Amino acid sequence: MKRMLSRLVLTLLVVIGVATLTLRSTPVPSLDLDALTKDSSLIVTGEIASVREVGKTKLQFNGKELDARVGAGTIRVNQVLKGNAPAEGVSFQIYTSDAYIGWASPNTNSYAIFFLKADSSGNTQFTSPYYPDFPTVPTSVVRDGAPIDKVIAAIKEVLSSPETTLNQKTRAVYFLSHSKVASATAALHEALNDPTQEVQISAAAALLRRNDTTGLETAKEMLLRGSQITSTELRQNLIYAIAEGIKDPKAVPTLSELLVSPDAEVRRAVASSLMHIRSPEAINLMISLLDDSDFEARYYAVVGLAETTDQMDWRPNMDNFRGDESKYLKHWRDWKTPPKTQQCLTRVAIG
Amino acid sequence: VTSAPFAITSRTPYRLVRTGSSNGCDPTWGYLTYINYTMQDNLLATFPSTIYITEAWTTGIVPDYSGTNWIRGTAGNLPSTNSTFADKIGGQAAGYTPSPNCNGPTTPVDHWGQAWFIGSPTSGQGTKVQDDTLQKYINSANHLIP
Repeated sequence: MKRMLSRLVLTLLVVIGVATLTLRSTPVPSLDLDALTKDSSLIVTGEIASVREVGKTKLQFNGKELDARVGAGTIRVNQVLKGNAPAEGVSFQIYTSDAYIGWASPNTNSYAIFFLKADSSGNTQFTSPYYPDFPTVPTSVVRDGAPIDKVIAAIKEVLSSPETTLNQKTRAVYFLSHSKVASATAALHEALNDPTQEVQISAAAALLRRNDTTGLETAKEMLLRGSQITSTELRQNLIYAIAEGIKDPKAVPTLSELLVSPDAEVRRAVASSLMHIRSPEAINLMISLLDDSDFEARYYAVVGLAETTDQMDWRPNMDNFRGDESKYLKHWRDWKTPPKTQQCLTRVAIG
Repeated sequence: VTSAPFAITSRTPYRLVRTGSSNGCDPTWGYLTYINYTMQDNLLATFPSTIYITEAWTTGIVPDYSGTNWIRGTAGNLPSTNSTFADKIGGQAAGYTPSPNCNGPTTPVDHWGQAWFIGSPTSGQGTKVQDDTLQKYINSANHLIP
């Protein structure tokens, strides 16, 4: 009861502090979990025990001076993932701007991983004002490994806990997807076998974004049976992952199956992927895309053909292509696969 | 000696490439949506050094939900060191109609025009690289591209 009351007071403090602020849409740096771990001198799991406003200050932000409030708090520590924490808990300072600049307040109502470092005055503060905490569960027990591997293990616990919601699980996959270390990839492979479709799709997209095609078959099934995906976000994430993540020529056969999709976004993603793959194995597909009804799909095919065959004079930028599309399409339609490339294709087919 | 004519392309900021999005619950704003982008030039390459990304509002708030009184702030900017960024969009603090709910329905609440510029810290300056509609729902937010 006492703990519940304490949580209520904490929540009220945070809400009172921000209720007068206006929204909340601003560009912030992309999350880089590996860099965040490296830059932190102290990483702990636990929950915030107290936080209170102790003063006001001025912040320099992007060349502007902003009014801000200074908070002081403590974290009740469960596990230390990096550095050394005092037994009585970790004291920290936090700055909250009165203008919305994308900085986050740590979640006072849930168990989390906190990333901290000492500032020039020796005070402990959150390493990134944008990403102060990450999800984990109280039951997580992390033992061995480098700090980043311990962080990954603590986040991964969210996926296996019976207490977590679907939303928390897909968020955990999102955080895992922002680390490039092997343990994060392994965790995403495990998530691919999660019983819930949403977690599977999130993991497939995360793997594809890092050019790991393990999830491509899952992605293909989901995208070709569009009604299976009820979330627009998940479907879009799969499409973006294919477009920007896949660079492995081994993906070409599965990508070719996606070209039957009536969804121009899917075909456009395949065309973008083939452009990134830059392999002779993708040439025939790119030639077929010259006749696609989608402008961007045709453009990516032209760029992909030019870069794959090293004909950079025939690699237009998008505006030039838009201005004289027929010239470029004619060139590539007339282009005959040179003998050398044909031999290469034959070898690949035989091999 | 005069060389043969040759074409050159000068590089200029050109577009945003969306790389994914994520939506999560938040005790203050109801939800937080992150929409991730990579910035590219006209040759579809990223930028070699730090460059500003700036947003601007191109319309007023258009209500979709009867009785909504959600509000918005000023447009933001960011010096991006690696040609990536995320648009961090919150729902609405307590006391407004309707209440945001990360586990609620994808019911539209309000929307407005949003434009993105690369190369200047000042809202509305630099090279425009994207127009979209910032659509807010009860459970999340999204950028809708026409």
